Amino acid sequence: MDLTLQAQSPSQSPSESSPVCRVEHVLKSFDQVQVLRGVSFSIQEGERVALMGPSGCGKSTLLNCLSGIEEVDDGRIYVGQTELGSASSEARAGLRRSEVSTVFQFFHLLPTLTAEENIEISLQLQGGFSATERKDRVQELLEAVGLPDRAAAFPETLSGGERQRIALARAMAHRPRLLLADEPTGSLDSVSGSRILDLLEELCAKHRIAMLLVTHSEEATRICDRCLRMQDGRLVGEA
Amino acid sequence: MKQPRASSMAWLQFSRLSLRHARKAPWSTLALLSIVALGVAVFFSIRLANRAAVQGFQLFSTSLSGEAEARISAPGGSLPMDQLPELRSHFGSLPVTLLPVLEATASLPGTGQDGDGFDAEQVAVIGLDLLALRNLIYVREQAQYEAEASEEWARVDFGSQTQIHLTKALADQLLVDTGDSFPVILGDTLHRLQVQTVLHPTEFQVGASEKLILMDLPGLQSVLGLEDRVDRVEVILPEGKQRAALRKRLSAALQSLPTDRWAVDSSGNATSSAESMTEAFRLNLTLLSVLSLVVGLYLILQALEAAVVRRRSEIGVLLALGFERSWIRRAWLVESLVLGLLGSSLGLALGWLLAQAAVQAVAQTVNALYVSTTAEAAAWHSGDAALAFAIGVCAALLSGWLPARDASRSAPVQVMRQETRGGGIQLLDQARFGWLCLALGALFYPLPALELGETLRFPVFGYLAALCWMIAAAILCGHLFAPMARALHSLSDRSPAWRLTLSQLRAPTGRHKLTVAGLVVAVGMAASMDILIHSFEGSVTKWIQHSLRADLFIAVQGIENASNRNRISEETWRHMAADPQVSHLVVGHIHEQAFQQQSTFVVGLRGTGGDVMANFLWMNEPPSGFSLGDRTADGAIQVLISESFGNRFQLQVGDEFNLPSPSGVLPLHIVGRFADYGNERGSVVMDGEELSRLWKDSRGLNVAVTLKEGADLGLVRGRWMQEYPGLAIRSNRMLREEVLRIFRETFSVTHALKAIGILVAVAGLALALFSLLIDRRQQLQTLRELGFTRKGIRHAVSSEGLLITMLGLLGGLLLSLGMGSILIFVINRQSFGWTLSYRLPWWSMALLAGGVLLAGWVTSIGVAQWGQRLKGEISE
Repeated sequence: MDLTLQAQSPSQSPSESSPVCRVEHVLKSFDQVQVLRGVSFSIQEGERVALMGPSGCGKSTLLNCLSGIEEVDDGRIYVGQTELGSASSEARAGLRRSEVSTVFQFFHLLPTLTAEENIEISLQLQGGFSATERKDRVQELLEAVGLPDRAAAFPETLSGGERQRIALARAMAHRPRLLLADEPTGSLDSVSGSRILDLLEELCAKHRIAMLLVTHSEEATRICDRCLRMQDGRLVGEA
Repeated sequence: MKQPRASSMAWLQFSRLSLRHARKAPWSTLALLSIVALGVAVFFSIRLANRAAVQGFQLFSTSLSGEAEARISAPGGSLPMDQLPELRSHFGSLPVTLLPVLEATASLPGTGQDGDGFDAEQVAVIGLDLLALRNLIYVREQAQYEAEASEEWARVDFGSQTQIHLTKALADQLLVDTGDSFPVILGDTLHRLQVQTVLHPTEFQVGASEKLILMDLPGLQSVLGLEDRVDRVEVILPEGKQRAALRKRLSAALQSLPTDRWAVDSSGNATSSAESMTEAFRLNLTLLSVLSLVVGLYLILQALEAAVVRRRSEIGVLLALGFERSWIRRAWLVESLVLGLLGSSLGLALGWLLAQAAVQAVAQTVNALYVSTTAEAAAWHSGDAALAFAIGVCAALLSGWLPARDASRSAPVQVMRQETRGGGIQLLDQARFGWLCLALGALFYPLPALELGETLRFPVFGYLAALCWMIAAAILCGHLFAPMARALHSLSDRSPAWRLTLSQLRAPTGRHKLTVAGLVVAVGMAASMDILIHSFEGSVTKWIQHSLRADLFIAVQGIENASNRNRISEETWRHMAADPQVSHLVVGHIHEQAFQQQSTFVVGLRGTGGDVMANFLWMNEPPSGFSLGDRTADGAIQVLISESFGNRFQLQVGDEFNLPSPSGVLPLHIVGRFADYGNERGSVVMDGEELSRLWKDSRGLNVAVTLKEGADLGLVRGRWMQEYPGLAIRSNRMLREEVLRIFRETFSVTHALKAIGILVAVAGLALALFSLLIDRRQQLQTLRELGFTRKGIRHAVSSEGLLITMLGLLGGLLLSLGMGSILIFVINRQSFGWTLSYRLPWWSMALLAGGVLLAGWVTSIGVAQWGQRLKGEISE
């Protein structure tokens, strides 16, 4: 088993590869409130896309649909070759264990697990690693996010920036093809937020991970290749 | 700016939010109300049933003669008729009426459940001087008796000795009317009695359903062969203006009566004597009913806690809006108060209905063990209602206090996205308090029973020791979560679900500890009851093997009722002894006897052969060569005492004491002590012939017959059943089976309580898991984001529930070893005076463990099934 986080060639441009995810005319409503009204776009391998829009415009719902947590009412979402609408709940959970990862505004680390256990559980979910292999991989990830000495710390003892770095390491642990980031700097001060953005850019570029970054921050768009704008459940522009 | 009033804000929260929540979730509201109502109902109904059973005894004694000023009896039992003229002379010119009364019991052949007549239904038979009674109508005010009843009394005639008068309730049961006849067993003989009058109830009260037979005194004396004695004499004063003055004179006259010849019971003493006799029994029932309230309290606490968790975001919003924490706490307390008020009101109504059913069961037990009671319905009692209501409201407030505190400590909504882990009782975190309770329990363990009044000894320190050890186990077990998680750590590498589960238990919340505490207490109590019952059964079986060796056991029908007064006549048992198939027999003469103001038994054994002494299971064996009937050098009768007798009256082998008897005070010397698990009031055993002479009664309560070798037991039994239709005859095997059946029936309530305890603990587990999952709904969402399948989440949650159950089970079983020891060596010994050998019921405990694990596992799976669908926060 290859334990290293091997990066693909950075010279390969996103447009040359096949899309990691494709969204086609997606409709979604909650209690007769139309939240997504025919959204379509795609993200190429290694491409980093920002998704911006006012609160309530449907950004987080779109992210949940992409991760397979929510099912769409109409339209299609492809992650790789898998169409999420026709995939079972188990298959969608399997995608989240291997292809898609999410980082959240409020980190959502499991409070009863230490930093290293939070990362390790992701590897354990993916399966195929021995305990030693998992330990090595976790150590590598902790070093990658700059927190090798915080392995045994519980989330409640970590700062916001540290928590988000651990969350990022957890998201990267199984080397996903698509990273969904839901306002990852929203709860952080500007310095910590900036560091997280740098780390996201570095790790995604290094491992050619496609990213959809939901944000309100124009600053965050600096690490993205393009920016989609959303309003009232529709994509209204791209920059 | 004007500060809003705390009470009005609490009311606003209650009326605008709590009530609407209740309306939106009617079933859970109803469940909460039912929990309070049920606790109050059980407590109230048992109080009413107890009261009715004792009241029934009073009515039995007074309803025919009206209210007597006093009752006079002989200290040693029955009162010789020839003492009546002398007794009358003591009252001089006082215009009192002396009404001699003989009480008996008539068994109704063909009734009872066991089919062989031992538990045949019985009714009270009262022999009265009917002439004197009829004259009473003219002596006392007419208001005492309603017109209809008075007319009936006036019609009462003396007729022949088999013509009787019976109450309407009994006539209805037997489907007889004036002029009809019906069979009853009086003494040991079958008689046909003819109905001369049907007596209608005089007023609407419990006594309306009373079943009584009234006979003319000489008739009953003749039937029973007791021509020369009565049980008591009732002293009745005439009504009128002078009554108060007469009462004073009567009181003086009564005080001047020689106490060595006559015992005076003033009006109302009969009830208080029944009360004192059944005090321990009623106390135990009350304790059990309080237990149901405690159990209810635990469930309410868990349910309200779950409600706090469910509504935490709402509380957070209120705090963010500027609500003060004290307002939040107050609003939750108001909610608990309303719950208590409504639930308790409902509980009183339900309790009154339950009491009508419970009174039958309680009366049945009181009848079998203590005194005869005729109670069939429970009357409303405002004092008991107020007490039950107050306890219900306080219990609801107490169980609402912790959740209220928890609610007021919720974080404002701005910080609620951060994970919270909490709930439960802080006291459970205090390991030192747990150790202190353990030590206190050990201190209380060896202390003697507390003397409550002259007749009641209550093992208060035993109960305190049990309580301390329960609290200790409940607290200390919560501290075993972390070591358990460490011990199982290797499972973490096996699957992410296990890793998650063990991480939850590594740092348990207060809710984990509260849940395990509930399980520890429930399992501990259930298993310790099992230990007690098993130890009891082992000891009883050993005792039966020693005591029941004869081939046939004979008694009059209906003898299983403690107040049955029928006996086997000397003629009958002598006739049996002369039967060619009989090797020998032992006649048991038994008399209830007052000793040191308490009721006990004096037993005489008369054997026609064989070794009477071989039937005892000795605690202290008498010296070799001793035989019943021996006397000491100074003339004291040498007797044996039962273990209960020794414990109740603090007497032991070698002691001498004086016992009253119809022939005067007897000096007795104790030479041996034996085990007797059939009687908690204790007994003194002496030679049967001597007892018959001293008590002037040669009738036997029971006869144990050993047949000659080769005799056909079935044939002899069948023949005697034909010959003596008034007797119930059991073979050795039947009797042993019956004793064990009664023994097991006695504990059937305990098994029901055990099941309720376990159910409640498992319901507590379910509520705790629900709360934990609601608390962790964001974590569940994260787990799904990480790729956990529903199965994985279900596995994690159900494993957590199962491990909590296992820890509770382990703690409970350990607790039960200590509690079992308290029950057997402290509470049982101090309450009943019985020595039991400690035995562990391996099978029963294994079944209990299996049942609890299964229930815990199924519950956990159910909650996990629900939890796997629990949504995180709503997406925008």
